[in-house]
Amino acid sequence: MKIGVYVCHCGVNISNTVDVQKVISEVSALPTVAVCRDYQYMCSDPGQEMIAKDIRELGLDRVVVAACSPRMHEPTFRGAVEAAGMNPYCFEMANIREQCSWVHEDKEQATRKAADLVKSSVARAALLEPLNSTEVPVTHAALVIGGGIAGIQTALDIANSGYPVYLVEKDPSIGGHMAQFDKTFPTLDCAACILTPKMVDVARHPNIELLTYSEVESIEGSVGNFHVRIRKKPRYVNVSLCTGCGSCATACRLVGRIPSEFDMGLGKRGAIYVPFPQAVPLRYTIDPEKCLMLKHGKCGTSPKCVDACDRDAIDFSMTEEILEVDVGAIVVATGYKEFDPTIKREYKYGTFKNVMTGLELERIFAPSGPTGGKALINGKVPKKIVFVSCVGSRDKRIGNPYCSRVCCMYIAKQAHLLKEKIPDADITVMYTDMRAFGKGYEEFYERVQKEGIKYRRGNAAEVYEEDGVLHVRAEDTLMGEPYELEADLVVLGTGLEPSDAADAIGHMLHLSRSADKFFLEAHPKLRPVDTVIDGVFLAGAAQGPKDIPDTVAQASGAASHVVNLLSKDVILAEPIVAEVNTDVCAGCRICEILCPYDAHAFDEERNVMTINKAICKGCGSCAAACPSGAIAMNHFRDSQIVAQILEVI
Amino acid sequence: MDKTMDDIIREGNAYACIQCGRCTGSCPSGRECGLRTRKIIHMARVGIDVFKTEELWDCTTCFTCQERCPKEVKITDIIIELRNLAVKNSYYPSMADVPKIIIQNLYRTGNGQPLSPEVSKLRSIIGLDKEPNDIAKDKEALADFQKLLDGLPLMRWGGI
Repeated sequence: MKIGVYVCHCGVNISNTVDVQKVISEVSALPTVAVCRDYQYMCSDPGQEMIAKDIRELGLDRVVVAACSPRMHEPTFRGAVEAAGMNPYCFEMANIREQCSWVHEDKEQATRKAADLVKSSVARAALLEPLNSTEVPVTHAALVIGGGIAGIQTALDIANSGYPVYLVEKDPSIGGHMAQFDKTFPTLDCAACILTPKMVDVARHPNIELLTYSEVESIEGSVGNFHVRIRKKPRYVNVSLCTGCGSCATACRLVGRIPSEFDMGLGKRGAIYVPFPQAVPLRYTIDPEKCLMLKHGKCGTSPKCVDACDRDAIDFSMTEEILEVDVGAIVVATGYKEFDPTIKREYKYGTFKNVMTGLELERIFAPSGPTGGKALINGKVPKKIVFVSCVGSRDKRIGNPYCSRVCCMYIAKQAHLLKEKIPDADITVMYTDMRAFGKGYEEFYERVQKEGIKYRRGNAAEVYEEDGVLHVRAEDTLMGEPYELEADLVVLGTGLEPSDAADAIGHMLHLSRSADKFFLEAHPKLRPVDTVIDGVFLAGAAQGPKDIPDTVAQASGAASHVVNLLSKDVILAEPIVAEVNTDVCAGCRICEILCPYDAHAFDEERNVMTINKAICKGCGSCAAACPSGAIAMNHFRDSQIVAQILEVI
Repeated sequence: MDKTMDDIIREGNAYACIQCGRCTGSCPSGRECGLRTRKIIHMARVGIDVFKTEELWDCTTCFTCQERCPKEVKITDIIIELRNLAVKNSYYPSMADVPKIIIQNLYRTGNGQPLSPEVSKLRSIIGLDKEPNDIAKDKEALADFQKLLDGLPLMRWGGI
């Protein structure tokens, strides 16, 4: 056995605390060590070349680099030894920076520890086995979950690169929350004008299969090869016959009697409906919870929608369908839901009709909304308006400690729109801190203040009613004085929470959530669109509250990662995985329960466990728990770990 | 048991405060007097000896601010602790005639709220002794009790 050992100074990061020459002299004395050298920066080109030269000239079997953490440079050195003809898994790293020089002050003791760590790595290196990555074929298609602006942008970008995309949306139309907005901050672009062309592009794109009114039922498999079952809910309308003319909706006995979800319950629809006039696809859907025919089997003498439809598109016998598709990559774009402020009882939401949420007011502005875009609250034009910020955000009491990022700006936008529609309105924004961080946001904030909107620092404490008039109590914290304002309309700047769909999707894909309950990215700075599950990416507010520009940027980022993956015919699967010795396995199935990735599958016939190498992440839980020692972790075999430990005790 | 200002603000989670002012806005006392709850927390955090301020004694400890604080700052608990610190450092509110009378009553009768003639009358109507069997009735016990109180800094506040 010929082992080459290379000790890095890391500039002075290591050599200031560790006597490198002393480590070299101790390690050189080991019988398995053929060569032991030091260098200022082992990770640099000359450092890597030094290793490669020794491999070629001395015929080294194993290489140990004593430097920083493997997380930092193991891939670098694995690449270097592989280029010189050595199996990359014959490389071992000793961490003498993070785990030694950075955390100790006494040079003598630190040197002793560094020498021990290197010797321990040498002992382990001698027992390392060459491993080979297995090739896994890639299915050239992608699944995008969620048809809001994040999902739409992701799907379009992937499809434009030439790969097929399945876009799954639970509602009857794509568009998401953006479709509910009137205008967007800070440019005041009409949301529909910039969104609907993209929605139409999705519907017409030859590479996109749009699956609306559908939900993901289950996902199996792993990177490159996911098998997805999608449940298409019955619309009770044949979409290939329906032209979206709307005769059925006008005819429905329940027209104008059912609160419209799209209008936040402020507008009414019938049992057969499209959520909004620009819906994509513009095809009608029957609400099975409300339709008299579907609920009671009877709708007068005959269902009026059927009578009204010239195309015979209505079909009450329709049932749900299960669609099975194979994809190589998945993008989760499940978005957000608005915080329900009912539990913030001091604001009396739900008690008074003129206390409303931001999204509700958004529908009041919309030309297609319940008031046709007129600024009418319960039939009256409000003259005294108070906005309250941070409702359901920055609030540990209700479990949302984070800032929702969009509220400051949508409040500014809504205040502007109200002032435009009601020039003599007296509008006050009660805020905690003003966060106008994006491009053009601070300028917009200034513009709104110039238009006469009063910004008073200090958030609203409570809303109460006296003689039919609402009063809002707060402290103006810049004056240090409490005050009260009368209000015809109180708008709560409600924050964002992960959508309800996130629970089921997160569970299916084994995705982690951060403390704020949004999906956790693989790295907060350098891998913000990846998840720790290979082949699964995040886009938009599913990962955290985001405005539209950030959502679109992340969506394109996720799409580029998907395309990167799909452009390969095969991918290499990491060989550091668990393996079952089927001669020893007793079939107790303890490992199966412990596996966080569902990589284990029980072979009923042979009564033994099997592990899918493509799914296994090499966490080692199963190997540690196996009562019969039937599971071995490649690269972390018991013998390798024991040798490493024995050297330091 | 002696808590420093730092102990009080740490235990009360005052560092989490974002100065939103919901506490002051919610304060029923603050509407009638100079109590500015948010300001008290701010002063405590930046190291001002807020226990010396009179407003501290205007709080009725209704806990509305603490109930509503989005950052879970234990506002009322902090105010109570600051009052303890004030008393330990001999800062008593100058307007505190009411506590003064209570201390004087305590010293003279052993009871912060001694028996009033009205209550005495009520007692006899329902067939009880005019005076209950408490320390005020037992002159010897009262003298012992006064001996215990003599010398406490609190007594000076009561003018005793």
